[in-house]
Amino acid sequence: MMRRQSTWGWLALGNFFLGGSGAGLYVAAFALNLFFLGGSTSLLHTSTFVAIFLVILGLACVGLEAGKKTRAINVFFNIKTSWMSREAVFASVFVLLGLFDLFLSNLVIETLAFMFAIGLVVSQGYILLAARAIPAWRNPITPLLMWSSSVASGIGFYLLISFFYTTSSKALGLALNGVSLVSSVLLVISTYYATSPSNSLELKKALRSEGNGVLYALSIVIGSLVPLAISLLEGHLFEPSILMAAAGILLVAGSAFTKYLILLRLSYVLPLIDLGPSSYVFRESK
Amino acid sequence: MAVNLTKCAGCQTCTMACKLDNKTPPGVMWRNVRDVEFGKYPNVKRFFLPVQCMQCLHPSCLEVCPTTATKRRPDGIVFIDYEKCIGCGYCVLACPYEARWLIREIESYYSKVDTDSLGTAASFRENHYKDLVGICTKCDFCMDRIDAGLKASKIVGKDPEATPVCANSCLANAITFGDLEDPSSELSRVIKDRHAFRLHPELGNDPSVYYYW
Repeated sequence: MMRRQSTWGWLALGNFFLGGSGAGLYVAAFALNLFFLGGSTSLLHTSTFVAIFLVILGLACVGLEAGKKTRAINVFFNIKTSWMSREAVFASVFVLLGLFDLFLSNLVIETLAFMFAIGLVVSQGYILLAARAIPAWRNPITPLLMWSSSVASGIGFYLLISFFYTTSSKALGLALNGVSLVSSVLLVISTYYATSPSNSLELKKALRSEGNGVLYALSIVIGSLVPLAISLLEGHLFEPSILMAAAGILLVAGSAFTKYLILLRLSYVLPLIDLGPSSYVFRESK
Repeated sequence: MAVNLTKCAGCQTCTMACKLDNKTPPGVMWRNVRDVEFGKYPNVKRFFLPVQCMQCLHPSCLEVCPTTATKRRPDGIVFIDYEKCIGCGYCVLACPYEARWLIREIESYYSKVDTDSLGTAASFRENHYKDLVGICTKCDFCMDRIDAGLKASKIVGKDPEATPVCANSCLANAITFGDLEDPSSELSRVIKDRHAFRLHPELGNDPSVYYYW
């Protein structure tokens, strides 16, 4: 009988989704602004504000999940080996740099914030990889899936914000190219995550259990296939439209759904001892 | 530590000895004995698997702990500094041996009326539990007991005063405790002669608890 982890619940999912989306949003907004739009600041500023807000919400989720909230400062103590400590540092410094940037609009600060946002996204992927008791997380593809999912939801939020900026049609066109790119990458990674022949038996079992495979396929459709189709349909119409916002909503929803599946549904615990399909360990006391 | 699975009768005496000595809260069992059944009717087999913290040489819990509350002593014992732990639960997900217990709330053994009538003993225990709410706990090989025993010139694994209570309490004498690094110890001999195995060696934790038939 397979048993899911019950240590991390909806609050942990909140951190992975909100924090990852916030960092992904900043990464997308900064890259589009710097490399393609030549320094248009209003969209970047709004994106920065939303990104900071999302990351703070994510941190609040972590704080609420912790058993001893008054000792929260201790989370910074093991940067040497713990990805959770690293995530805390990346998130905190990102929020500080983002706040400075809102007032100072400085390229150096923005570049630093961009790097810390990338660090935050990266560390979230590795947090799961280091959890050896959960086969669905211990998969080497898991970090890639988490990173691409965070960037996808970031671009989704960027599209939703851009929807309210009627003058930024060039940015929207580029963002839609970004949608094509990130949807394609996400499609490849999420498909590979579920179908790789090198997957552990436990992960294969997890995907076969309790309708998880169907839900996972649905998450690929919502989070990758439909946004990709929309971006291809609208890719040459450089103007805001309902479809662009729809692509944004789908990317955000797809990312949330994927992370929900990984964190809460596929997270079966590695059996202490596996003696074949007919084995059963009684007194699974937790 | 090495456990003889042929001898283990699944009596759970070690579970209770650990619980009593370490005063763990209701539902928390740092050491417990799993009842394992395998095969297909009519060829079904059953054995008992005592589990606890494996005191790994490369503990994944120590690596992921963001607070450095999890530590490893030079003698190999992995323990938690309960004053530092924030109860994030990350170590629970990193430990493949289900050895860690994150205590979110304490379910009392007693009703309020019972606690009042039982007096100081019960209320002491209830208050002791309150300190554990919100943090992670686990077996530490009775390190305080071992330290005290060593201080009194007792021998680890031979004298009960320097041996974990689970090993002392085992009715079937199924548990061998000692120094893994001493090739002449009873523990090292048993592991070598009986071809002892460990749980999930593929994960790289390098656990210090061995099993043999």
